[in-house]
Amino acid sequence: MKAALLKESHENYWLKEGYLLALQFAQGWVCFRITGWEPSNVRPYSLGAVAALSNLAAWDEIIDASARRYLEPPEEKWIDHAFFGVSKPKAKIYFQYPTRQDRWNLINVQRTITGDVGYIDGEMSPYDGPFALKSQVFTVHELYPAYNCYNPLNDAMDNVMLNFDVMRYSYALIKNRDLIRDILTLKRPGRLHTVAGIDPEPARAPDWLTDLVGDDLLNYSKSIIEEGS
Amino acid sequence: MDKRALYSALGTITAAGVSFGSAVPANMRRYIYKIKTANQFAGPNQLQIGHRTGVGVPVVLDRIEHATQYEMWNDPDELEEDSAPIYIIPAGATPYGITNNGNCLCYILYEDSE
Repeated sequence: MKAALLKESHENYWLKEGYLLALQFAQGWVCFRITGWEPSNVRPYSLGAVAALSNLAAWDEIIDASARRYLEPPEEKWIDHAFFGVSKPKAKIYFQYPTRQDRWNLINVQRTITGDVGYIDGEMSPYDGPFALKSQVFTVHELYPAYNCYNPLNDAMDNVMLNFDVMRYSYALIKNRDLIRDILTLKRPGRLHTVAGIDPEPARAPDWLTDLVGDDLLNYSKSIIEEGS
Repeated sequence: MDKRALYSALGTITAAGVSFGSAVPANMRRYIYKIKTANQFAGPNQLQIGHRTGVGVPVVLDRIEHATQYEMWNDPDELEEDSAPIYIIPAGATPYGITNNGNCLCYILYEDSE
């Protein structure tokens, strides 16, 4: 509890209008200028009961009753930015992003969803906050994560719940090469973020986004980040 | 202590001794924050509270005396959010009790954590 109080609030990580954002996908970096934002949340999101020493039978894509995903922007014009907290404190939440791609493996074999590697529990990211930076996720249309849960206790967990705090951004796509270079070389203040992680590689940008950006700019962004000028 | 981490267990402790509740998970300890007992025996009854691993020799942590039937022991009266645990049980063990006469009900409130 004392350690949690020392954490910075996740709200300090929200982007404001005018901020620059660069997201790294497997194909390259895509740069955006935030043009607007709207806060939302999902609380509680119930993963249901989890039996002692058991995990969920299926990965959960954080959906409503009609299987619409809360963490996937329904339109291409938005980016979602989310953090979450966990109840119960010992519930271990595992992460796939995109779905079926296990993350936080640490060693060169896939981490299990019953083990001590690669998870967030309710002590790391408490249900009432402050949420762990590790829980941060950026999503775009057609790209979304999935979660599973393991109960390491010998007592059943009656209801494991997640508390998502979500910020939705509208954006303008940046195609100016000079500006892209300045963002990626940190000459202009902006937020650089690797989508999903680096093992085995960042998430692939959906086709609609790569079509919008174009292969030339994606390759240019990779050369900038590698050569630094 | 985190209210969302709390579990409870209730045992009917006998003169033969009984384990109650679940075993403490590996790499964790069970922090017991509250105990409430009620003597069911028509006379004095001492409850020994502790833990036991499987069918091993029980470890006694405390003795609670009851002078009369239906006498209750409630510790602490009020549980504060920053309370220290009153008993700690190691990984692999299960809460255990035994009396020197008849039955005694025993309720505990606990958290399993590293």
